[in-house]
Amino acid sequence: MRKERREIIILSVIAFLILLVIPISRQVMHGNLPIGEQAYGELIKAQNPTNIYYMLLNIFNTSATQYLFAVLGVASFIIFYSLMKGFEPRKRLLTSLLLITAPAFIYTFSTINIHAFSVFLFLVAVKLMKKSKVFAFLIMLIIATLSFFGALLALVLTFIYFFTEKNRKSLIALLIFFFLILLRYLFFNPEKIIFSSSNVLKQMLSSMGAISGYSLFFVLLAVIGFIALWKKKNFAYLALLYLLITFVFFGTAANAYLVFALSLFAGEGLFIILRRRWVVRLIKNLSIAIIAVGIMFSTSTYCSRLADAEPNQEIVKSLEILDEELDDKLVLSHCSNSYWISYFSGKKPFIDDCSEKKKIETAEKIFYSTDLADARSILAENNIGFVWIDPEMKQGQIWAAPQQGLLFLFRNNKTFKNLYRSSGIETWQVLE
Amino acid sequence: MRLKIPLALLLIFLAVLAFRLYFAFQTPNFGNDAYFNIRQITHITEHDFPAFYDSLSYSGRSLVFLPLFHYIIALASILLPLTAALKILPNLFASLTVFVIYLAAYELTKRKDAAMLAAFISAFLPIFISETLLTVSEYSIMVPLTFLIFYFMMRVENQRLFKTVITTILIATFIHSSILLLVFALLLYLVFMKIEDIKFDRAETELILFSTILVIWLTILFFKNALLVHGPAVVWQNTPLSLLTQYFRNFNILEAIYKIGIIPFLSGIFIIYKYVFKEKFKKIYPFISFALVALLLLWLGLIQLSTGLMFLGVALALLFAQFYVIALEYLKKTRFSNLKPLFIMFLIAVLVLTSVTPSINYAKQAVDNAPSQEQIKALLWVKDNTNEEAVVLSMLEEGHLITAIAERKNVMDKKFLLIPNTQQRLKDINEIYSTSYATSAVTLLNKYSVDYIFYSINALKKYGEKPAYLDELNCLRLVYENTEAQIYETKCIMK
Repeated sequence: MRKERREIIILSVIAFLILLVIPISRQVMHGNLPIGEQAYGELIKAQNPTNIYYMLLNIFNTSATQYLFAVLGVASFIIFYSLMKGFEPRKRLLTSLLLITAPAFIYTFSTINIHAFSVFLFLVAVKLMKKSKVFAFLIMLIIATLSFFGALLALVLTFIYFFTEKNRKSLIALLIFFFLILLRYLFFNPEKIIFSSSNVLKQMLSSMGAISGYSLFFVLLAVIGFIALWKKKNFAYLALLYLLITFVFFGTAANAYLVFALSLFAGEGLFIILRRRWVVRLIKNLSIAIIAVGIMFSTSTYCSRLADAEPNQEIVKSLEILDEELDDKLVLSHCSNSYWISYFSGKKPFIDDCSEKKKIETAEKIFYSTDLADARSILAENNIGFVWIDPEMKQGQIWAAPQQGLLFLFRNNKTFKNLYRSSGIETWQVLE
Repeated sequence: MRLKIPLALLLIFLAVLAFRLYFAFQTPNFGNDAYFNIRQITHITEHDFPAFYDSLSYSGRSLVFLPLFHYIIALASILLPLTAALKILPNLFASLTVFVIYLAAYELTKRKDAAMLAAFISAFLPIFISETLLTVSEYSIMVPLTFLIFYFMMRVENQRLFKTVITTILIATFIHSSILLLVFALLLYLVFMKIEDIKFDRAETELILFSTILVIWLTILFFKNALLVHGPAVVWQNTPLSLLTQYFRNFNILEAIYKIGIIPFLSGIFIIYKYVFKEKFKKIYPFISFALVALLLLWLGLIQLSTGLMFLGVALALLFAQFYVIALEYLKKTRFSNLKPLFIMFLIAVLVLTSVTPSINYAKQAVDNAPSQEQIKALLWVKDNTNEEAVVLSMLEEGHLITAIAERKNVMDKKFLLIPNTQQRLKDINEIYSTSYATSAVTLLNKYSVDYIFYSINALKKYGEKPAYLDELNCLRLVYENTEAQIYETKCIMK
C-alpha cells in the first residue's frame, strides 16, 4: 500500500512537470498565449457562459486557467490510476507511464480545452459508478451538456454499462434521455457537430503532424495489447466499439478520451513484450531500449513543437492593430482564424466558424478574384473592411502561388492599405 | 562450410563490371540527377559534413536525405580521384549484386548452375543498369545490401549472424529509405508463414519484429520534418502533380517485361503463383514477399516506377533460380530429358538476347542523356563570369547542373521535399520556356528573381521551339552561345 502511494505520488509529480513544460515554455517564448484556435473560441464563449465549464473558465484569468488544466490533468491521472486497482502492479506502472508521456494526454491538459474538463468528469463518473450510481449519472448528464461528443460518449457508455449489468429499465430511461440531448444537438446545432475530416494517419500519429496524437511506438504497443486482449472477447469487443465510434468519426477531439483507453492497451502490449521469453537476449534489450528512447524522444519533440505552436506574438500584434481602427467592419480570413480575430482584434470575423458554407463560398470568391471591381463590390456587399492573412493561407490553405487572386489585387493601393506585414503575416484595410 | 566462389561467377562479375565501366567512361559527365549526390560528396570531402542547408537549390532551402552513401564515396575519394570514385564505386557496388544473388540463390536451390544463372540475370537487368550506370545512385549499394540482408536472414539459425544482420540493416537504414521495402516484405513473410501454417522460428520472428521497429523508428526520425510538413503524402516526395503521373505512373506489364527481361519476369510470376497457391517452401517466401510488396507498391503508385521495377527485377531474377530447378526436374520426367544441354543453351541464348541487348540499349541511352561537353562549357562560363548571388533559370531536369557545375542558385531541381507549391513553380518554369507572351515571361522571371536563363538543346527538344521573346526583348541579352547551349542575361522588370 505504501509502495503504491509512493508510486502514485512520483507519477503525479512527473505528470505535473510534463504538463507544466508547455505553459511555462510558452510563457517564456510567446507570452501568455494558449495554444491553437479552439482555446480562444472557448475564452470568447466564457464571456457569456452557457454551461458549468464556461462559468468556471470565466472565473479565472487566462494564465491561471492554463495551470489549472495541468492540475486537472494530474487529477484525471490519479483517478485513472485508482481505476486500475486490480491490475498487476508492473502493468499499472507501465500503463501510467505511457499515458502521461502520450502527446494526446499532454495536449489535452496543456491548453484550454473543453474535453479536458469532460474527461475529468467522465473519470469521476466511472469512479463513482459502483459507489453512487445516481451521482455518477448526474455527472454523465453534465458531460452530455458540454459538447456533442460528450453527449455521445455518455450515451455509449451508459449503454455499455447497462448492457453488461442487465438493468434494462434504467437503460431504456437513460437511452431516451440521452437521445433527447443528442436530438437537441442534431436539430438545433447540426453545424456544431464537427466530424473528423482530415487524414486518419495525420490525426493519429504525432510524428505525422497530429496536434493531439500518439507516438508510433504507443500505437504499435496498443495494437499488440489489443491483439492480446482479443482473447478476453467481452472487453475487446466493447473497447473496439468505443475506439471505432470515437476515433473514426471525431478524430482529434476523440483523442482526449481515447488516450486513456489506448494506454490500457499499450500498457498491456509493453507488459507482454517485457514478460515474453525471448530467444535472443540481445534483441530483447535492444527492442526495449528503442521503445523507451523512441517514446521519450517523441514526447520531447512533441513538447517543443507544442511550445512553439501558434498563435505567437507576431499574430497578436498583427491583429491588435485592428483594435486601433475605429471602422467597425468585418475581418476576412480563413475560417480557422476566426477565434483569434475575435479575441485579439475585438473585431468580428466575416466567417464565424468553418461550418458556414455560404460565407466560405463568398470568401473564396474574394480570395480568388482577379477582377478588382468585382472584388471591391463583394467586399462592400458583405461589409468587409479588413483582410488578415497568415503564412499558412499563402502556402496552400487558400492560395497556391504568391501572386494569386487577391494577393495580386493588393498591389492596388487605392483599394487596399497595408496595416501590418511581418514574418508572412499581413493585415490589410479595404479603403472606401 | 566455406563456399568457394566459382570461376564462372567471377567471370560474370568481371564482365558486368567491365560492361558498366566501359559505358560509364564513354562520357566524362554524369546523368543530370547524379549532380545532387556529387555536390554532397564534394561538400563532404571539403567540409567533412554534407550540406543539409543548401543556399543554391531553390535559391536556398533545407534538405532531407540520408548521408551514409555520400560518406562512403567521399572516403573512397581519398584513394581515388573523385571523378574516378564517382564512376567506379557505384558501378562496383552494383556489380557486387551478382555475388549476393548467387549466394541467396544457392541457399535457396543448393544448385550452382541455377544460382549462376540467377546471378547472370541480376547482373544484366536492363532497369538496374539504366538506373545505376551514370547516376551515382544510392540504389547501386541498396540493391545488393537488401538482398544480402535476405541472405543473412535465410541463415538466421546461426545466431552468430544476428549482430551482422542488425549491423547491415542499420547501415542500409542510413543509406536510403528504400530499406522500408525490406521491412514490409519481412512482415508479409510472417503473414505467409502464418497462412501456410509453417512453424515460426522464434529467433527469426524476434529479429524481424525488431528490424521493423528499428527501421520505421529511424526513418521517422530522419524524415521527421518532412513528415510534419507533408504528412503521409511524404511517400510521393512532394513531387509536383504533373510529374507524379510520370514518376509514379501505373504499372504496365509490357514495360516491366522489357525493363526486367521476359524470362525472369514470366518465371518469377510462375514461381510466385506456385508457392502462394500450390506448394509450401519456407525459404522462398521472403523473396516472394519482396516481389509482392514491390508489385503492390507499384500497382498502388506508392513507389517510383523505376525504383519498384529495379527491386522487383532483382527479386524475380532470384526466383528464376527456383524456376530453373523445377524446369529441369520436369524435363527429366519427360521423354525430352536428353535435350537438357540444348534446353540450357536455349535458355542462355534467350537470356542474353532479352537481358544483355536491352541493357546495352539502356546503357547507350544513359550515356546519350548525360549532359554534353558543350553544355558543361556553358555552365562553366556561368560559373566564371557571373555574380555569385545570381539566380539561373533552367529546366527542372537541369536544376542540379546549375547548382553543381555553375555553382549558382537555381529556381527548381528534383529535390522537392519541404518545398511549398512545387506544382506552381514547375508550371511557371514550363510557361517561361514555352510562352509566346513576353509580359507573362517577364512577370515570372521577376517572380523568381532570375538573372540568367540557361537555354540548352534539351529545352529545344522538350518544348519544340524557342520562345520568340528570348531574342526579341531588349532587356534580354545573349551573353554566351555554343552549339548546344545559350545563356541569356535578363534585366527585364515588369512595371
